[in-house]
Amino acid sequence: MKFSCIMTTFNDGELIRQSVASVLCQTYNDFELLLVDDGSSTPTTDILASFNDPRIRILPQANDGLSSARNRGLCHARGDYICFLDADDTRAPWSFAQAAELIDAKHPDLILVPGILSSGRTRLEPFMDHVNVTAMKEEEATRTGQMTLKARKAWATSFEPQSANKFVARNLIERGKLRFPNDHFFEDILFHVLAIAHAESVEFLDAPSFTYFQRQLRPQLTASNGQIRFDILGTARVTFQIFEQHKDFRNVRQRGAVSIGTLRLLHWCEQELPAYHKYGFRLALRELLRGVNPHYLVIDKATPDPRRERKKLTRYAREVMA
Amino acid sequence: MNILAKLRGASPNSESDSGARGASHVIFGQIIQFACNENGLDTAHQLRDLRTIYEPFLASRAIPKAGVCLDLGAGAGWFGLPFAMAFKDWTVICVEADPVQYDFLKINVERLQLENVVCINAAFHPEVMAEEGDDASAFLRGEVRGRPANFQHLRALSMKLAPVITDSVPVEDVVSCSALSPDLIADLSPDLIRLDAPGCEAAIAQALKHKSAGLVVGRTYPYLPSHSFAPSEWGGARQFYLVHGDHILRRDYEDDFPTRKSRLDVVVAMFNARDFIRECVDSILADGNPDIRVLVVDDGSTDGSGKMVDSLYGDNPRVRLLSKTNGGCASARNFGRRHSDASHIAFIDADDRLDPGMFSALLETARYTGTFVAEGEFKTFTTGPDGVDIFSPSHEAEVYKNAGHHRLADFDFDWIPGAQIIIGQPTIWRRVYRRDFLDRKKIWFPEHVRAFDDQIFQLYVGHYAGSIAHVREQFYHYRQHPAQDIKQGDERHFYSFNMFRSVFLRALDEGWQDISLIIQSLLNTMSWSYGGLRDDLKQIYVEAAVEFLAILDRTFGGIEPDLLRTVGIPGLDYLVQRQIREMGNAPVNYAMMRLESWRWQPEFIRMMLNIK
Repeated sequence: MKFSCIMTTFNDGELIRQSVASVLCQTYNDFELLLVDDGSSTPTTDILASFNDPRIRILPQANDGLSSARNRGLCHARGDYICFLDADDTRAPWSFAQAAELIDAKHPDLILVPGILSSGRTRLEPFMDHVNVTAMKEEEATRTGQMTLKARKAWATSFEPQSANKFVARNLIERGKLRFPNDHFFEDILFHVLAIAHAESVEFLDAPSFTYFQRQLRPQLTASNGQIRFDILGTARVTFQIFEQHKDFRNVRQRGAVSIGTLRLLHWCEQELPAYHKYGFRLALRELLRGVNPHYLVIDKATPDPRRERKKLTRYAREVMA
Repeated sequence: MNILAKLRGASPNSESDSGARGASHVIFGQIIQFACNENGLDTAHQLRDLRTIYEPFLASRAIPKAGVCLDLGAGAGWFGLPFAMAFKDWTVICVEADPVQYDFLKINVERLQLENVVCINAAFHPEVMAEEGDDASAFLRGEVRGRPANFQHLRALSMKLAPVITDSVPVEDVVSCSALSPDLIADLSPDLIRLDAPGCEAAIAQALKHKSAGLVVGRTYPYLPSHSFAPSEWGGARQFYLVHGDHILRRDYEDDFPTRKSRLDVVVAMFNARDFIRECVDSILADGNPDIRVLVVDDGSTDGSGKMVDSLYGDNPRVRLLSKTNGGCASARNFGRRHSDASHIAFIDADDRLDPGMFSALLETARYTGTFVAEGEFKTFTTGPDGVDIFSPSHEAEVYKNAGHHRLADFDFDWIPGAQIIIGQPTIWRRVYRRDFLDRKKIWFPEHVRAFDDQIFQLYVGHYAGSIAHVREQFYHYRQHPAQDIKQGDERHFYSFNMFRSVFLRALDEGWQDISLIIQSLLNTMSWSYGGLRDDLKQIYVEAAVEFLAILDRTFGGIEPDLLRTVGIPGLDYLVQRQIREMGNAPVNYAMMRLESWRWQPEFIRMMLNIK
């Protein structure tokens, strides 16, 4: 089997129908869809029970969090490549077909794909990291020959840490024992950084492969302003700890991309926290940054940084530590 | 009330006039003056029951505008008459066996000028059969419709002794009176029954089994199995409130919701337990209690144990087999719970078994006390090569030497503080839990945790449960295997950090007053885990513990170094103090607990060990 698509749901209700249909209607057929029900109640469970397609497997669990649900999917996945889709997003009809073609040609460990962003406005736009794609292509144009794996990994790391934007070889996941951080949201950053670190070949696709919906009626979990934002502290700390032990830590551009990606999330979470939690967040963040390898906080000039965040985030980190 | 007191009550003529005049009381929101034998004791008893049973019960229910109330053991009318006054559109049938009390009852009805009361001087007796052609039920129905009652007719009914509940009653004190078949009660179709009829409870309950009697309130004297008063499936909805000694059997409006069946589901998480599952299920079924069912969750067994359960119990309505893809013990238990509609639930292991009757005793305790958690005792056993079981008592045998302080049915129990199980070894399988309690407190088995998930479950149960009913001499049999999880000493021991982190975060969110027992439990766990851990993991474990304790210290403030010295990790107190110093001038703050470490989850550790 070529692909396992892992979709987790917690009370997504009617929204899930379109997401599931977008997978079932793929122009490429050799896949399974693992639907992990993270303790939904009716009507979501009724909707799940109504799906009747041999390619779907439903894995129920009592509510245990997004990471736990994704990990359950990983345990049961049988496809050679694994991808993820949130239960309110969609996969482009050609998504699997174009990935399969690339896989048959090059057997990469990891494929990164662009996506579409549906925000509150009418216009469908490229996903947030399109500036990275553009900048990467500009850099590629200035070189003669292929980009090195080192450069590819640096650029890949700079992409939005998001789970829908990659196809990961299952044997890479097994090699690295990759899992999402149980009990934590902002789960993607750890998986993103480590999947790229373990990859021995990385490819990029051009056509949009998924659409990420920002919905007004159903706030994104990560867009809520409650204590959930504290979770980034845990995920970020473990990401720094584990990546530091990988040989790619010495790839300064890739390390810089890890720093920028993680600090961006930390900074954003602090901004979005309720006022009365900001002080506590700072204290914990200070402890976090004091404990990490100091080289994370020296972000190399050559780091992929199309959004020009390097200086701002370095300043932020130093300020927190003061 | 004691039957002797009732029987010996003086007649109105022999008492002084002042006694017959009675005093006035406020009952059900109205002033009422009784004529009764004011020997003090009886009045006090009656008033106590009105204040502690009947007023609270009526106050807590929606009483229909009209209906038929059957007051069994009406006495002088302490319940029935105020009820008739308060609810004018009801018909109240007062049944009283004792002729002396009955005379007072009649006087009271006349004095209060109640027109919606029918009095019957008789007792219900379980041995009286409603005979074919007997016109008694037609007569009684006529009584209800046509007033006033013609008491003479009743004398013609068969005479039998009312049952005597204690053999210490001298023969001369036993009176005989008219006896009616309990089946007649059903014929009257009462909407509310007030019950104070010592010895007749079982027969009355049986007569009501298939009848709708929406409200039942009163006292029961001998112990009755809790399901006695529950209506059968076609008996309709019923609420009851029956005081039995110190205990109360209660069933509320919401117990009739379709999502809530008043029974116990025993969830058996099964993974490759071919050799044991039959013993296990049979031991649950052994006492034939229809209110106890078994939910076997086959967690993707590969040894055919699912098929075996199906062939053994496929036609047994008390056993349900659920199958799922393998996901670990926690997931199987949660799966069973989510597929259950029972009011009470238990989680046991497929290779264990229990005394026949253990779960019945726990369910009875749970129902009669309303406790969130009832537990039995346990012993461990191994089966030798010759097939003979060798039992060993649990460590608790030392603690529970004397009989329990409370008695119910044929067993006794004690109340123990829930906090006691916070620091104890996890024994979640010998308990019966109220589902609504687990749901409200969000106590689940964490599914990502692949070992010791019962520890966090037990810890939350202990923290929230208040007191737990510990039922004596009902044993769960905990099978010992040479290769039990806990003895492998692998990285799953690190799940403890993950679980305790969740607990401390919850403690912060909910502002727990006292976390000292949780810390004690953490240290016990560290001590036990470290002792059993594989050598190559010990160093990581020490680092994990130091990091965790330092952050705990910076979250809640000072942890006693003396406590740390008890753990058995060499130099732990020094290492933790040193770590705290390295954290510089970090003030104590709740947010510190939000930090995480690669050493606190086995998944992270596997990622770390596979990094190069």
